[in-house]
Amino acid sequence: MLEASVTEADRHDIRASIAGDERAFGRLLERYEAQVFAQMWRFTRDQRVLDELVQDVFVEVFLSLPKFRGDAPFLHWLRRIATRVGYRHWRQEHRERRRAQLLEQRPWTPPAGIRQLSATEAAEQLFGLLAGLAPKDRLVLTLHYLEECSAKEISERTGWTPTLVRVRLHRAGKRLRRLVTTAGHGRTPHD
Amino acid sequence: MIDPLEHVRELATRARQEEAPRGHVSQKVILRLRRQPFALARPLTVFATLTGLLAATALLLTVYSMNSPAADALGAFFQVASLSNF
Repeated sequence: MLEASVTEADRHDIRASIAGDERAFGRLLERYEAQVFAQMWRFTRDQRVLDELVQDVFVEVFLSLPKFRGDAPFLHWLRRIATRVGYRHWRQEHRERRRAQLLEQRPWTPPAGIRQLSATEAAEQLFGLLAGLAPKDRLVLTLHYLEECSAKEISERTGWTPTLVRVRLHRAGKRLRRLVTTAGHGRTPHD
Repeated sequence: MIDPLEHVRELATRARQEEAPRGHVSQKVILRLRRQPFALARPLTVFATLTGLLAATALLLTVYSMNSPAADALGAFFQVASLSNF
């Protein structure tokens, strides 16, 4: 039974999609496509990979629709699946890099004058910096800083307990500091 | 010295203003989903068919050996068993 937190349009399209109505699922997909593209852009900077990740999210959404209980808005549930797909992508990428022995930590230099960077430049800098971390650290920092999620929201997105999220945030922060400072680049132009 | 997390915070504030690329994947998703059920069902179908065939053969043999006393299905087994006593 889908509850009141789900909009009427979503409720109708979810039921019809489960019954096999492709057009209803197409409508659902078009309604949330932009949000999923924006979310998956946090997990890759490659547009071809982005396209595939968004497809993966919606395929998984369709297959999981019968399990959607409707006790929260559809977008929340969708974001949980998208987070899982993105995290799985990072873990796979991490395994491949480890196999190819490409996991050396590249030193990161803080850019001179972050405020002068374009939004895209800043996003690329941040993406490159966090890529030096293990997927779980990268995920928790991405959700916290980029998506502005609280520990409770991260817990909802990842399925980790709020306590585990706080511990991971703390440890990920420490590892990030080490990553930057051991390379001797912890200073900014303001220092 | 500025805390690296402060850099992350500043970069994230700036990065949030970036507009993500847009795309349309609905057709591709629908095409993938049309292929998906078969891909998922195939191994199960093969397994179920083989199991069914095996069960049907066993059932036929049992019925045959029960209905025709001349065809002693376990005869060979008892012969070997009695020989092994010597």
